[in-house]
Amino acid sequence: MHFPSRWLRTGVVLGIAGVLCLADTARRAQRVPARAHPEVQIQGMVSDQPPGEAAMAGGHWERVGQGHIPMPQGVPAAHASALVTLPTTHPSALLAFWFAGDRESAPNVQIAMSALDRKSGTWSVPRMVVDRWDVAAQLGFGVRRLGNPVAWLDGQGQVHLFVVATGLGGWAAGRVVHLQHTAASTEAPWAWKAVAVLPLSWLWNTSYLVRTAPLPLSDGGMVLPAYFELGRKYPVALRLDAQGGLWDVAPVSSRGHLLQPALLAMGERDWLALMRDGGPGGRIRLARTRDGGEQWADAGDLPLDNPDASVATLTAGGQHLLVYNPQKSGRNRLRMASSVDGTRWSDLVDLENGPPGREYSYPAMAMVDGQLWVSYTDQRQSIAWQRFAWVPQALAASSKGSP
Amino acid sequence: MNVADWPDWMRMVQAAAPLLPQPSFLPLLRQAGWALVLAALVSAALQGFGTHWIRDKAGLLALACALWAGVPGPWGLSYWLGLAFQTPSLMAMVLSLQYLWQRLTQRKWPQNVQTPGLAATQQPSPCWPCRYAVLGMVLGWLLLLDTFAYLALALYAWGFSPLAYALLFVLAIGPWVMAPGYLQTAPAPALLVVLAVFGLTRWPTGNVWDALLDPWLFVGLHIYLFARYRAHRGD
Repeated sequence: MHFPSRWLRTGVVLGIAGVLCLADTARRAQRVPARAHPEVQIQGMVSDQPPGEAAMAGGHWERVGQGHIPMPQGVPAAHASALVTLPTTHPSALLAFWFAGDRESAPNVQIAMSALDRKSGTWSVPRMVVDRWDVAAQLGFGVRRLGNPVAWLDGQGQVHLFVVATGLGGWAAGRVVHLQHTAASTEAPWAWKAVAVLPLSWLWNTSYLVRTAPLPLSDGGMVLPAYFELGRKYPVALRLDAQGGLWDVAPVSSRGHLLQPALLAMGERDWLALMRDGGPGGRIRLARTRDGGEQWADAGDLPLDNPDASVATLTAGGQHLLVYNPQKSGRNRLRMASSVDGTRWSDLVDLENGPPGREYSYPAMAMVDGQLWVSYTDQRQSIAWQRFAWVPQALAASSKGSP
Repeated sequence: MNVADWPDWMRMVQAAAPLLPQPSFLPLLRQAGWALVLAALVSAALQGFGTHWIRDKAGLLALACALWAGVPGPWGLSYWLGLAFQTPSLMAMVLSLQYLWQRLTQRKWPQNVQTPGLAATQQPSPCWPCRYAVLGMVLGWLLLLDTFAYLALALYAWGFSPLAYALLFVLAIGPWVMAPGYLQTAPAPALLVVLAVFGLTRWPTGNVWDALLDPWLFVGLHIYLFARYRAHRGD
């Protein structure tokens, strides 16, 4: 094609660029604002109390069960559990995932899974569902280590799993691999297909990790908290659509020592991120967005000590719940707290209070049939769980008065 | 017609979410990419050897490396290179292919091709490869700063946007307005091929920066510019 005139050539270049720019404008115009799923606000409301202060004053969480999720036979180490609640039509009520092997970062570490039977309330025999060799074979390149599973149930009821898969190096060389549950068969009821490595960084896509639970959105998608940790540590929020397709990546904090953001929805577009501090501060840090994750801003610190350890958050029945290690050093205590506004927290119960040197860490939470489940790492050897039921004030008073 | 049935180029300009490449092709792309890059590197490195025997066998060694990289699974080089460095950029692949083609046809690696039939004033500037190398280097530094969150804007994430693609298109083809012969200078065809292939396939990640520049190519640009600088000074 010959364009002898300079004006014609200019017109051709500007024309094509204009079409592409218009397309981008159209794309942005049809972008759906992110709104937190309304069920997050009411999920697990087990009393008739209205949300907020009244709900908190109108009852309390009572521990009604505790134990350990069974470990795969002969596997000595476990860490970083994640929980996902299944639809009420499913025979299993809850799935737990964690990484297990000889030790953290051992070559034989795999992702283990156990399902909570809805009728019997018992955990299934655990099975290893994801190993690095299978992931590597599906992706077509090597994977050194696996860790930190995060589970999500999409708008179509499909379970997705996001795991950290390391390249050349330790956790700082991690990448986030997206896996999807494939059609169940008798031989392999929980088989997983590697969908993609999430493209998050130009530097060989290294050093992005996940750990904390996603925030469900009303469009069936979710916001997946992630973090970068090569030298500087900073959190990001990944927006995924209802099918698990990556939509957007937004930095959550500009401070260079925060990681593992746990998200809480104060409203549809007003969200908080509670973050572990990898610096010397020893506090839980806070960032906030008021526009559904378009722009995040640092929002100071929470008056809660934390020894550079992962926290878990959940909204249930108008209350915001937090599980965290409440000391500046040591992970031997694990506590649950509640809040109405996400900034002022009241202690509810100590889940664990062991002697110094013990470790109870990396909590996860889920609501199942109106009850609150908390799982956490116990001594890096197994995954412990506790179950709580909401006891309304009137019921508590009457049970105290009965003979 | 459902959106899912649209051709890639139509979805690229319409999709609400960034379009990512088909995962099924990526292992093949990774093998082919590393095969091309390794073959070009081996071929170029062995040209510097003094002995005729090595220079004569450079082609065979390059071919052997390419075949090794192309082997799927843990026995293949690309499996381990992918572990550390994922997939080379499309630009690295195209430049490697261009270099290998020129070696095969025994033509000199083009520095500045003068276009027959054009007046001297219309001839492209002799510095186009350097200029594009400088631009690539600046882009690489910005992406590196963005990786460590030292930039206020999310530059890498912006690489998923069609707007970034449009601007790059203007940068790639804009000089053609001033000098039609530009399209025949060394980096221009490669740049246009990369943008065209990316537009159709979204290789390798769906992000246009990953198609244009990878960290090893970024390092290579520094070496290239340093070498040109030394040559310019007559060292």
